[in-house]
Amino acid sequence: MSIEKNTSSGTILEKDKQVYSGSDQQLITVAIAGQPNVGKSTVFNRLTGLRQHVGNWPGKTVECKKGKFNYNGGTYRMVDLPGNYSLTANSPEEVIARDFVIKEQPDVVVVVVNAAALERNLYLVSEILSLKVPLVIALNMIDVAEEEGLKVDVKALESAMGVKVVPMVASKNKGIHELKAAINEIARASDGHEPNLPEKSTGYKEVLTRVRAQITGNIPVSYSEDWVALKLIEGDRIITEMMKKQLDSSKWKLLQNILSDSENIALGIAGSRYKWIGNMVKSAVKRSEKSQINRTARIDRHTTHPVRGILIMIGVLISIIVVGMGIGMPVALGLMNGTVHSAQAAATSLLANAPVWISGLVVDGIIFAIGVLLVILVFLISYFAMYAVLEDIGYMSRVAYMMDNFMRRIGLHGKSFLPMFTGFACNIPAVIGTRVVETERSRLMTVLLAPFIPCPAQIMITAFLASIFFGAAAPVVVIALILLNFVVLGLSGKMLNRALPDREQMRMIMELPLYHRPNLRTVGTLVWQRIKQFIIKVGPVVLITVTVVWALAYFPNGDIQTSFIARFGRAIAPLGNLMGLKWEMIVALLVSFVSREGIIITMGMLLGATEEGLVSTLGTMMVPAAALSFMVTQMLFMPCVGTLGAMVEESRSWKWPLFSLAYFLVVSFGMGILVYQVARFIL
Amino acid sequence: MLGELLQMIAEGEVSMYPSIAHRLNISEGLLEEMLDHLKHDGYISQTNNECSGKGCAVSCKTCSVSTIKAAGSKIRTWVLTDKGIKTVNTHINYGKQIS
Repeated sequence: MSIEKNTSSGTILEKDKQVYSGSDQQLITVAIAGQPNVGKSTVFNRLTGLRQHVGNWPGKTVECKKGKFNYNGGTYRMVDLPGNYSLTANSPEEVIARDFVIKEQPDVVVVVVNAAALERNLYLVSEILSLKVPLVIALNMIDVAEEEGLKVDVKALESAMGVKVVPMVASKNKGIHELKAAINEIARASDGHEPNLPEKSTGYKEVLTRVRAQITGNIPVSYSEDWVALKLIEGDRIITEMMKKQLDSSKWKLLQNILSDSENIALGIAGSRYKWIGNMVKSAVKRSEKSQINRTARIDRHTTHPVRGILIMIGVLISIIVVGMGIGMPVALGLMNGTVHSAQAAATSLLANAPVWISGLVVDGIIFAIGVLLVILVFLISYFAMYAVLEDIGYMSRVAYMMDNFMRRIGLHGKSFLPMFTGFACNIPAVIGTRVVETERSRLMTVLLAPFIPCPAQIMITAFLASIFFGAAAPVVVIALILLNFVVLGLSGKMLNRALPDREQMRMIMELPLYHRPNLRTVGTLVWQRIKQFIIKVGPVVLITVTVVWALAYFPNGDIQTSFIARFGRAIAPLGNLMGLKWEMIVALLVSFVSREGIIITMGMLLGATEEGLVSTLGTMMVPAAALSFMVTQMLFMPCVGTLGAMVEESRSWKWPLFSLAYFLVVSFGMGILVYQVARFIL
Repeated sequence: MLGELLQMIAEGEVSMYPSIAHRLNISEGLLEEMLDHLKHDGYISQTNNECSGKGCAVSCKTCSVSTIKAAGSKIRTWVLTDKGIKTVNTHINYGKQIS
């Protein structure tokens, strides 16, 4: 130990520990270490008060603070080491800190740690322990830890670490006196302390022995052989350069060979420190039920349970649909019966003298289409709002977690389900959202599979038809068809995974963040962004679609049965026959490629029915098996033109999106035919 | 323990923090520290749902990537780097290669 003796002639440094009587005082050197933001400066300031001096470390631009305090007849020289996370040679601060401890050999090192973040802070402690210096742990921010529901058993921590621990709240001047007492006790302790060090693996001990054999007798003064060997194994840049100068070329070469074969040992050394940290924290830290982490853990016990989690997810989805319909339907009916019909009546009156085709286009086409769009918007606002809340509270990552096993079976990570989940709101942002997927191959697969997730328009049409043909069992039918989409998604994904080259293993992990209350502003922003996107991208397409469909259904001579669309429809009628569907329904299906929402409009136009009349018309023109076939086909139908555009953009080619169109067409009609041919014998 | 963690990421059998923490018998907080350490040493790299925003016809304000980020769920994802894969192949798998 070194002490400075103040005499009238100046300061001299003495190596032996001596106690001087009379006016001379014992000077004990204490270094304060710790990570940034643990309150180290606060502890230093509380200990030294105004008796401090600020300068720079010799030859560095890093600030150096020194101070003094008196306690129990001794004078304590405090040196505030730069804040750092470890003692590697990654930064000047780390080098300064460890050089001081090694070369200056302080009597005590105080490591300030944040009690609320022990797992983060104890790594530095584990490294300082390897320097074999007398240590005191200042366990600061105990109040913050308690607020976060953490209870640190100080005695248990002391016992586990074999080091003195002093609980503190330095900002409130609590624990300062106890810290001084602890510093005094450790500095004057005559017997060596025995901290519990991280375990050394067998591999490490073997390499350590071999390295020591090369460096023995060549270590500069004040460094310990074990510590230098440890740093060489860890690949410490400065220690490596130091030893390169110390050793002759043959020994250096031998040492290099030993070290190059031992790269994994460095990983093992760091790993043993984390194991040590885990043991320390387990022995001394308890979380109360009220802590946020515990609240998240309690909820996750259900939301990530293999069975309950899936049921909760299905339940959430059903709730979104049911609540959406429950809120949307009365508003929608009110809109149609009130606003839209009034607008149609007003337009009819205004265009009384206009050509019939103009009046028909405006009243039965455009105004009706705007009305349906408004109705869809009402549903979408409630869907988007509910999805936004789920995203904001952190539930989406649980969905990714629950779907991870399923996604892995088709060669994707659970994270790929995050953009897919958005498909329940709209497939366009779902495809665009695949940008969060890490690899090209996985991204392409996600782009191609995302359209299997039914959008609100598809679910609404299914729910509409299911309510006509299956009454109270309609929700069951809707859920069953959504699950069918997932089955087809899974099978298609498996085939795609086999077909695409460069199969990759999912070497990726993802965190589940803490749940938190939804931020209404964030939710509002998300909803507004999606509504705006829908209006801008989908609105014009729907209006154009309606105009084109109306024109094709009107021309050449105003009679729908002899119109262009009817001629086309009759040409593909054999396909409809296989599904028990009239040509009007097949045409409506094909129109959904341009706009999903256009199905209802097209059906109404081609069947000559109003909103209310459509229900009874459909009920009489189809049998339940045919309706089921239609529902299955439209749920699996090819992506709409907006989604196709997004697919082209994200896959940066036409090849894959066009393949996807053809694939979806074949699968949807194939499934529709199969379902009708089987269901007509059952229903 | 860090080697085990690298191995688990490499094998790809578990991919979420809770599963990994459970397998290693550690807390998720400690797992995060270990992941930060592996990142610092270059064995893994982190993605944060980032997007380069380049060559994109969609305005960032309406893009789903920004909405996934804006949702406030800072979902950190980690992938093995080439160094990480090499370490697993050379020193941990002892013969069982991953590519």
